[in-house]
Amino acid sequence: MTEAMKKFFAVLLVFSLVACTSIVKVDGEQTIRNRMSLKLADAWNKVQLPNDRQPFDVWTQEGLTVDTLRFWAAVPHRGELVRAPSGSVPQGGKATRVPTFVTGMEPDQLVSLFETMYSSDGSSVTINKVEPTIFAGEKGIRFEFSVLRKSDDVQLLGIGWVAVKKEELFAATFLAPKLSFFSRLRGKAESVVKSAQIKG
Amino acid sequence: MLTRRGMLGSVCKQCLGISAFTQAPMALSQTSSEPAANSAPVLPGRFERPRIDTEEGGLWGMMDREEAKLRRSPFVIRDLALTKYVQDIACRLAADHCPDVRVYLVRTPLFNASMAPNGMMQVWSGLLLRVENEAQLAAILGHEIGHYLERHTLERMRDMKNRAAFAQLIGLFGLVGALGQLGVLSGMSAFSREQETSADRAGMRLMQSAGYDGQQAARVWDNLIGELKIKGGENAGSRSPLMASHPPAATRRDDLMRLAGDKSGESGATEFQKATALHKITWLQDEIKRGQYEESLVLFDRLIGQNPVDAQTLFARGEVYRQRDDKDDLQRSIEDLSRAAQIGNPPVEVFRSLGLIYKKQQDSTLALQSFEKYLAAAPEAADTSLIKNYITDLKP
Amino acid sequence: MFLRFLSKVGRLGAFALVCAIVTGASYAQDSKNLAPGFTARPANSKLVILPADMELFSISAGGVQEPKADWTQSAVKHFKEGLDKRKGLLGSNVMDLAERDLDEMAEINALHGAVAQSVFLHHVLSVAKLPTKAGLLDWSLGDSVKPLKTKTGADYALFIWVRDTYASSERKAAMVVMALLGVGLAGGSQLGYASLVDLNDGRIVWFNDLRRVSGDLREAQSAQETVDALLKGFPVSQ
Repeated sequence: MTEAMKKFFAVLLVFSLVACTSIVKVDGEQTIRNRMSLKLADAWNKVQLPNDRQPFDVWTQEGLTVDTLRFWAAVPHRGELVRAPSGSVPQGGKATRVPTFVTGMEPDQLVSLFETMYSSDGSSVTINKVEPTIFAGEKGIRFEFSVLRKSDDVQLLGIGWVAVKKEELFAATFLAPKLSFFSRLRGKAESVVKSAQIKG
Repeated sequence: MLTRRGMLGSVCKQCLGISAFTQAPMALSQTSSEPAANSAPVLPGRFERPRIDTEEGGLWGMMDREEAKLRRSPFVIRDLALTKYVQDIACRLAADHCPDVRVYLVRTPLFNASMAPNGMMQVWSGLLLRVENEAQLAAILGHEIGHYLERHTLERMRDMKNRAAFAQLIGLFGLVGALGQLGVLSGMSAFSREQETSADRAGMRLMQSAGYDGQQAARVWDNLIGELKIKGGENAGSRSPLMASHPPAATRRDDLMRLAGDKSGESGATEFQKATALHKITWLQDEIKRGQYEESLVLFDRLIGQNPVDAQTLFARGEVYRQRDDKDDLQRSIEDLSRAAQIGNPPVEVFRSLGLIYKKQQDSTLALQSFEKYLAAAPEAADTSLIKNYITDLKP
Repeated sequence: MFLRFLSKVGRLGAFALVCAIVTGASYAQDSKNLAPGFTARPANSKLVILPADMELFSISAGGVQEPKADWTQSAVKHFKEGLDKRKGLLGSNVMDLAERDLDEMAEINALHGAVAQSVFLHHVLSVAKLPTKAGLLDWSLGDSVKPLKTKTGADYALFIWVRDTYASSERKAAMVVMALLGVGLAGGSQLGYASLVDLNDGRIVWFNDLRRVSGDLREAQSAQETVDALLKGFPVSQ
């Protein structure tokens, strides 16, 4: 498919989703899936996509095609970080592997999950930094990455945080265009993430 | 066949050498009764830019705009030497059409190549990782040039328009209509399969004429079957799903073997390895990032089988085993990574991966050794602070 | 490969467009199209017009979308002529950015595309608004536009994006037949936006969209109408 066609219909597809999408303002105290609490200093826009089967929440400041702040809370052992589109698998064949959390995963493996997730649409992902951190009150990992987005060639920068408590995964990622937007918005994202606390 | 040529001829009034065009592609894609060795393929004359108000002109125009965008894309591999290497091969294959072919190498870890009606050719890095030598690359490029010379994209668009209209009419009539639709559309797939076979034949003549070993074309598909079976099941090579627009891989392999015949030729393994050497580790890492471990293992097994002392591929396979971490995987990983470490110039990540395995297995001494080697070789690595923490934890 | 999608996506595209059009509510033009606090460009400010990103397609009887280069070329030409005829609107200090100069500006152009999509999705359409924007056109590319300003010396940049489909005569005939049988088929449609960016601070100061099932860029006169529709409310310089 030519790039122009892809982009055109990607836009239209988004529009067709739009008819059933709802976006609400989130402010003050928020909870992700009842298991991670957050204290917001700024208001954000929480997007609820139709047929929402994804294991993460997605928030945005400037719009879905610009910046996204995603949260995962209490992903269990063998829980997928993202659900692939459903489709039939031929006899004897295997389904596409999808980044899946497994207890006992080492920090580098956790980072790999996100690296694979962001690569799955043909985008090019590079991990630029990995370091220990405290996330949501637990010892965890913080990583910085860049994404070259396949659909429109936009270059993005990202930060990710991940921690495991009692065999459940908690994580957040923030991604925004390298030019102007990332530096402008990262403070807001980091402030939310800093407030995260695991519940239950 | 003749009708289609006639149709194209009538549209392409402005094209030069109309008779050459209507005759030559048949020579190109039909199996000659003469032994292949004696007849060089007769190519159509260079295409003149089609008039803008024709169907073909429409496609060209859109492709030109696509090309402008592609040219600006950060996904294009901007290595002049590598691009020239591939461009030169395409040039040799395309003969007189050489000036019209423009090659773009794109960093995407999947097996694919395509050629647009305006001469723009794309080759993905996943393909460059999977072919073993210059002849296999030439087989693919030749196939794409075959599509280009026979104007398949235009044919396809026309055919699809006719079939879509027909399908829509049939669709009005309920269940019978639905089945009719399926039949019509799978008919379209058959048409595409014809084109693919035709392009295979054309590609074979082009590559053999340029002195390459035609059997390498069959090997490309043979090599892919293993990977295809992971998602496609055991029959992936020998069956096509109903709507497949390409013949099944095993059929292509067999047909290409037959077409190749006994003619000998060059495979150009050394030249290819030299040209792609600098990029290989990047492409291997891109493949690992896909997270499709079983497919990657089939690929890496094959590459290592070809060259058992390649430190980079051994590292790649070891890394996949480490990430998959199924039963016995860590042991296999250690074997591959250790072997890579012993060969000269392993990727520095070998020591990182070994360190991580030893750490997981609680072998502090070996873990420390490996991590320290890694940090010494890569002081600017992304995860230095994490590894330094590990070192501190591991020290007695 | 891309052709395999054409017939499928043609129908999907038509459906999606219908959805988008249907869900777009009417709104007070001016305040929605202008950034808060912005009404006009300063006198003598310079405007650079980037090459319009335009594709025109013909829809065949079966719904296949076929690119039409001559139409696109005409459209680009007529659009440019249409813009020229609106000198009063655009002002006297106008330049065009050459196509080849887009090579240098590729990153900025790609970024603008992504932001414009969000403006379209979250501001123009009423069903997915971002509450934090409070209904205002409040987007900025920030300092990312500096290279464009440096290169052109312009104060404002106009970006245009248009995707047009037109029903071929066979399609129109099919529409009639299907209508008789009670099946509605989408004809052609226009989808597009025009975006004015302040190159001094990167703000999108004016944004207009086009979503309709009429309009014809292929002929000079009707193209003028499309230009006028796209530039409706374009801030003058005073």
